[in-house]
Amino acid sequence: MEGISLQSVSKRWRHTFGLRDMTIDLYPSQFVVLYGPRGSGKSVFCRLVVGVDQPTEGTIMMNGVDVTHMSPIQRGIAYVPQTFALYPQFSVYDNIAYPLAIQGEKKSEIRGRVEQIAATLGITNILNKQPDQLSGGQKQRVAIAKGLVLNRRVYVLDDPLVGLDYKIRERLVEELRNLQESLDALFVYATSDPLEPLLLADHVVVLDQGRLVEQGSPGSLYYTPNHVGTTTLGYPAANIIPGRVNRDGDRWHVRTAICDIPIGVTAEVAPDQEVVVAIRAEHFLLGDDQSAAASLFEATVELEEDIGSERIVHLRAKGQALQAGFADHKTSLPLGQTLAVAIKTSAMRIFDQHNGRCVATGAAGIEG
Amino acid sequence: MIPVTLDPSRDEESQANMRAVKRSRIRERIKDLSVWVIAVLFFLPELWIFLSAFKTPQQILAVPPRWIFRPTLQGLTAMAKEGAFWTYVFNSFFITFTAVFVAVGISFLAAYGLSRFRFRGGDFLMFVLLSIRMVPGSASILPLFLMYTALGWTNTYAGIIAFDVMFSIPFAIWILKGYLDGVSQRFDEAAQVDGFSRWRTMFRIILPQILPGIVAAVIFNMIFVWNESLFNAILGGNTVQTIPVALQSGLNTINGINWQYIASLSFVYTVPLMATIYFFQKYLLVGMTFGTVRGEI
Repeated sequence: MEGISLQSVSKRWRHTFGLRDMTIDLYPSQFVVLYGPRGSGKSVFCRLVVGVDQPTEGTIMMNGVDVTHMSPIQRGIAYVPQTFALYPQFSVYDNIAYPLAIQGEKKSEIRGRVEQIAATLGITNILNKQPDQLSGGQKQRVAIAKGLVLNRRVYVLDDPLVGLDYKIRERLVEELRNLQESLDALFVYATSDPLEPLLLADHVVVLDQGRLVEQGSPGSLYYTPNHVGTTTLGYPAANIIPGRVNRDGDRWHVRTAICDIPIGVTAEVAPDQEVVVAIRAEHFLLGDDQSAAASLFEATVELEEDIGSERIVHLRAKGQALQAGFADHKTSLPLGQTLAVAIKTSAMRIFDQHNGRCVATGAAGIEG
Repeated sequence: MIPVTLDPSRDEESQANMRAVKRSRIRERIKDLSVWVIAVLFFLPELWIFLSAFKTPQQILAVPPRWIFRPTLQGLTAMAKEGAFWTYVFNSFFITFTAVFVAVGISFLAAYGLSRFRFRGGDFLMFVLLSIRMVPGSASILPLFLMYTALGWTNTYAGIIAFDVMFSIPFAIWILKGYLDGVSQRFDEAAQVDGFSRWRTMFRIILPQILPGIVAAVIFNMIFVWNESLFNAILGGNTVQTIPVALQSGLNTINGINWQYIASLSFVYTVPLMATIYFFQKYLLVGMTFGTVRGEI
C-alpha cells in the first residue's frame, strides 16, 4: 500500500502505555490530523512514524516496505517535533539549512529554499540571529521552517502551532494547507486544538488514552461523532450532560438533571444504563413551543460572548452550565433572565459513560 | 499637602539612616580586609618561593627574610643550563598534555554512552568507576609496581601516561556525564532526523554544548597529572621524571638543600598551571557546579 500503515502497533514503557494496539492506514497526499487531549498518544504516534522511537509491538509499513526498525533518515520523513531542539551553536539560517547541506544540496539551491520558507513563516529578519536571541514564538517558527524546508513525501508535525499567537496561527494554518496541496504530500499533524482539525484535515484521527477511538472526515466527526472524545471538536465544545436511560413502555428516553430526552433504541442501550448526552451549542433552540415539552427546560442567562459571527450564551439550568448559540437570535439577551429553552433532539448523540461509545441517537419529533 | 522637609522628626530619622549606612559600610570594609589578610596569609609560602626564585642563596637564607631586594636571574639561568632541567620540563608538559587529552577523549565517549544508553547497573558502574579514586595511592602502588615490572612498562612514557589516564578517567566521566545529562535528548533526536551520524551528532551537536564541562574536566585532570609525583617516582625513572619528582629528589643533595634550585624549579613548575587556570577561570567556576547551573540554551 502507498502511504503509511500501522499494524497492531503498541508502545509501552515499564508501567505506562503510550499507544495501544493501533492499526491504521494513512494514505498519500492527505492532510491527516491526529486529534486528542494531552496524553492521548499523539506525540508517541508521531515519534513512532518518524522513527525516533521504536514500537514495543507491531509493524510500521511505508509504501509496502517494513520500516519498523529503520532510522528516521532511511524513512525520509520531515519532522517538526513538539519539543523541538534548535542547535544553539548555529545561526537560525544554519539551523534550517543544515539538514539540506547534509543531503549534499547545492549552496545556491539551499539559500533559495531557506529564504522561501523563511518568508512563508515570517522569519526572514531573524535568519542571522542565534537561537538564544529569539522569543519562544520565533523559535517555534524556526523549528517549523526546519521541518518544512525538506522536500519529502511525508511530513509529520507534532502540535507545531501550540502557543503561537492567534494572528500567526491563523496565517500558518492557511499556509500549511496550501503547502500540503502544492507539495501533494502526506501531512500527519497532531493537535489538541478543537478547531485545527476542522480547518486543516482531509481525514481526522481521534485518539484517547493511547487508543484510536474514531476516524473520518471532519464533517462526519463533527455532526455524527461515534465517541464522546470527538464531541470536543469545534467551538464551543459540545455540552456533555450525564444521565440515565429510562424506559417507559415503548418510549425510551434519557433522564438528565435538566430534562428528559427521547432516544431511538439500539441494541446497545439498556434501562438504567449510565450515559452522557452531547448537545452542541447550535442544538439549543429558543422558544416556547409547547410541542417540545419533553425537552423543554428553563435556564438562566449567566454570560454572553459575542464573537462576531455568532453569539455564545452561557446558561445555567438546575446547576448544569451550558453553552448555547442561538443562530437566529440576533439581539442580546439580558443577564439573569430566565428563558424557556428547547433542544433539537434529533441531532443529539448519546454515549456510554464508561467506554465513551455512541449507543443511541436522539429521537426526532420534538423540534422547536 | 504635608511639608515633608519641614518635619524635624523626619530629619532626625534620615540622619540616623545615614549613620546606619555609614556603619554598615565600615563593617563591609572590615570584612573585605580580613578576607584579604587571610588570603595573603595562605599565599605567603607561595610568595616566599616566588621571591626566592629571584634571590641569591644568601638572600634566601637571610634572617629576618628580606622583602625588598635586587632581583637576580642567577638561579633561573643556572638551572636552564642544566640538561636535566629541560628533560623534566619536557616530561611534565608532554605527559600532562597527552594524558589529559587521551583521558578526556575517552571520558567523553564513555560519558556519552552512559548518559544516552541507559542500561541495568549503569549507576552502579558509575560508582565503581569513582571508587578507583577511593583507594589510597600507597595501597595500590605495590601491586601496580609488580604489574609494571612484569610487563616491562616501568620508566616508559606509555606506562606513565597509561597510569595517569587510568586515574583521570573516573573523575572526568563524572563531570562530563553531569553535563551531558543536562543536554536534552531532543538534540540527539533532531540530529538523527536531520541525518547526522551518531559520531557527527556527538562532536558537532552535543560537544559544543558541554564545552564548559570539557574545560572543567581538562583543568581538574591537568592539576592531578601535573602534580602526580608518587607513582612517577616509583613506576617511572630518569627518562620520564617530571618536575615534582625532580623537586622531591632535589631536596637531598650532598651539600645540603639547594634552596635556590628548589625555588627556581618551583617557580617554573607553578607558573604554567597558574596561567592556564587563570585563563580558564570563568569556565572552571561553571564547572565547579557540576553542570547543575547551566545558562539557558
